[in-house]
Amino acid sequence: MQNTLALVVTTPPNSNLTTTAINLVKRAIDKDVAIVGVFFYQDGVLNAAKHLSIPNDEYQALQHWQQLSNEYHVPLHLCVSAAEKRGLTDELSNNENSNIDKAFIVSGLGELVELTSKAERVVQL
Amino acid sequence: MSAAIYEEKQTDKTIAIVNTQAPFSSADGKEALDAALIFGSYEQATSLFFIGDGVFQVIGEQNASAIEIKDYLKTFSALEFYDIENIYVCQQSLTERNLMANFHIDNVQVLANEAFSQRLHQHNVIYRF
Amino acid sequence: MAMLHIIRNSGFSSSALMQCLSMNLPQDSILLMDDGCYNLNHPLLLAALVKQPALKVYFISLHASARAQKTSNTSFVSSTLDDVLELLFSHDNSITWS
Repeated sequence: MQNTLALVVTTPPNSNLTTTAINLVKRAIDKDVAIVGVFFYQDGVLNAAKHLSIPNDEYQALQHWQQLSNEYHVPLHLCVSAAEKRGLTDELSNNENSNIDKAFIVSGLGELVELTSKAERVVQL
Repeated sequence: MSAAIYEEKQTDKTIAIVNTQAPFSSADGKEALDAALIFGSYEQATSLFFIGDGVFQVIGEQNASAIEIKDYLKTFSALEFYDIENIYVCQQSLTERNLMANFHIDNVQVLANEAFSQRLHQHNVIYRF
Repeated sequence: MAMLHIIRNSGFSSSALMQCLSMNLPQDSILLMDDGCYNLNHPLLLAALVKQPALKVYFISLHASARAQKTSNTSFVSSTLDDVLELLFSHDNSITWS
């Protein structure tokens, strides 16, 4: 039976700690561990900021999250109350005025409860 | 039917929320408490742990409003409404900081290192803030 | 229950390592990740290994070598992110100290 894992990401996109989290998700996919979801909390919500401009020759965390969402269908849940406090609007991601990238699902802490109960293991990164 | 499966799967996980930071200069304590209250409102068996500078969150006679902070510490009194009754404080952390067991919340259990650690180990999922 | 303690920062600037060691029980393991690799030569961790020789300490070799951190202590187990996935499932729970 396939192992299931959920991740809680609390570090911002410009931290190398986030790169480690992204790489762990990628290794999980390669090793056939099912990622039930990634929950972005605390400063981790900044990963969903679509207007962040990071120089081209630096690590593009957002592109990696987009790839995980688009190609591997990893659900990326954003804690909206934590996001609003950090300047991200809770308008739907497909709204052009939103500053939340559409790879992310606007969720609440209730989603953390659900991921916690659904996954065999949870890791906070 | 999917709801029934979900119901079944969430039966027996226990959650520990571990607080390691002092209350005011970072949002960690508030965001930990927000998470604890949500787990409680979903009737998940949730316990709170305070270790290191986290013990500064539970000591009495604090005055957050004096430094223009909305006093989230008052929200700790909501824990009992969500049946969060297991609140553990590390004795060693209190001793190191020369603190008395004088808390602004009830039902606090002060435990020595090993007992504190053993309680923590009994939980399925641990979130540290 | 066996717990995996994940340490992601340096014990020289943070109390995470100290707290982790004070919560460590015999069946637990420690994983040094990211800046946690700076603890490969931390006196507190080395002392813990002397006191408890069976203590399992894993470290991400890529994270250590990127930081010019080396160890000749055979108690430390060189690991990859694939190993981390196995550790997560071979332990009952995990705590991330950072």
